[in-house]
Amino acid sequence: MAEEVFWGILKFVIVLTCVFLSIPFVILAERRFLGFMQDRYGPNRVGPGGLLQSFADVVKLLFKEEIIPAGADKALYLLAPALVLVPALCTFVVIPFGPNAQPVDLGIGVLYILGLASLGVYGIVLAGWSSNSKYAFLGALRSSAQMISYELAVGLAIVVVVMMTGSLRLGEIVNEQAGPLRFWWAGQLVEVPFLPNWLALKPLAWPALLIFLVGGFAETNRAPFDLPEAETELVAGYHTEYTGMKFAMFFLAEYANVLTVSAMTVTLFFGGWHGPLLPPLVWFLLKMSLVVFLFMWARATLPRIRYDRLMQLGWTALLPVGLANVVALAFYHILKVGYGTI
Amino acid sequence: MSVGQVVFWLAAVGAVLGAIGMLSSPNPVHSALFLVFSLFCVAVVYLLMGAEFLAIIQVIVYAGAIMVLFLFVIMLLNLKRDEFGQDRLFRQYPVSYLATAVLGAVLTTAGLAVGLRFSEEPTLLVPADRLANLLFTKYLLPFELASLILLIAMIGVVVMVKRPRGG
Repeated sequence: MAEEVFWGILKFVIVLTCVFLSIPFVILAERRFLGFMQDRYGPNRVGPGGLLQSFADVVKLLFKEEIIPAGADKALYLLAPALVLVPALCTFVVIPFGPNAQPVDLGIGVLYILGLASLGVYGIVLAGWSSNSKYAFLGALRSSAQMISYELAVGLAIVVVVMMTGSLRLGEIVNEQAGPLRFWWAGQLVEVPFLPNWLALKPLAWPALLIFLVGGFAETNRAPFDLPEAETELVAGYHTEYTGMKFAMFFLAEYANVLTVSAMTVTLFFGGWHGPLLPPLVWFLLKMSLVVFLFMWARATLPRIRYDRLMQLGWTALLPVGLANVVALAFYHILKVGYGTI
Repeated sequence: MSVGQVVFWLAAVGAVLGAIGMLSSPNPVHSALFLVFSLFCVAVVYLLMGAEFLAIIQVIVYAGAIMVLFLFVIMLLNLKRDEFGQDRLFRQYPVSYLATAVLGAVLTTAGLAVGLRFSEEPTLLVPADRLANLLFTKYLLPFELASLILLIAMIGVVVMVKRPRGG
């Protein structure tokens, strides 16, 4: 028992270290890419090609003066950054990076990630509330409403995935997507050669994939859904009053969340680590980088959506489409197994 | 003490302290957060009993969704304790202490009668698919009734909140 706990903690530490070490480079990649898209250089002075820029930023933030605003709820003000960062990092322990590279294969893997996402809201809400600043407060209210609304749609998208793969276990969801593309048509199993059995290639999962991506953007508060920190209206939203390392923790959490959503997208819809020739880990990271790239691309090209439009999109578009997708899938299952067996 | 026992005591004490904090905190936002903490600790206890599905649903539904809504409303109204006015229920304090003492005595006797012990083996190990099977076959009627009651409550709230046109 004690040995098991030790190995569990060791795996956890290894995964966290890898995530922590990758984030500075993801941030640099985004800044360089945004520079490219906006026809400017981006940070390229610190180290070769700007590679050390993020580390220089961390050093700068470490030496900043810590300011706690007057009238702030001190305990919660100090707690909030940790409440954002810890759930964001804890999600990585259930991601299957390769056939034997999953720290824990929980029986409730998908729900575990949903649960941590729903706890992540508290950090943002409390950061805004405890700062005793109206901009931060408005940002907090926006983010809580936004995250509750989009959680439902994302949940429905995950239900679709679970219905198609028949498991809540992330390891099994990936295994279900092995081999060539298969589907049931007119009472028999049709196999399509050369195409992988990824959910992203099955038409019945397309609405779910779209909802998951849009919802993922909204849950991570990334452009074009970055209303909680809309700088044109709210200065910097919920983290307006934060300085130094506490601000850095919000920043880290945002990128950790981007990595989580990317890893989840790959795991649920793009066959996880499955792929020909290259080793599984390389395939996983390759697919994951493409989704991370999508996040950056969206930030560079899409304007911020208006707040009422955001709520309208969540409740009147994504949610009904998600429900319809679940119903359609249920009918497909009846066609597949026949009425007699139910 | 084994790892399971340590975690159990941390979670159990945490749950009780969270509940006490919720009741005694002067700030409504702090109260809501203490309740979240308490619910989270209860989820950990479920986890120790092997009911991982129940635990995660507890976190998603209670600690996640419902309490965020509570917090949202508390913050939106910006409630302060002094805005509640004089506590008008002060005459009921002795009765509430008495009721609490009786309830405590009953629960303690029940616990002693059963003989509380710490089991290292998870006792409630039910995978999600078996739970779903039971819910949609044996317990279908109560399940549907519960969802109907929730639906009625929801419609009731909408009807009560809706103002008549031009009113």
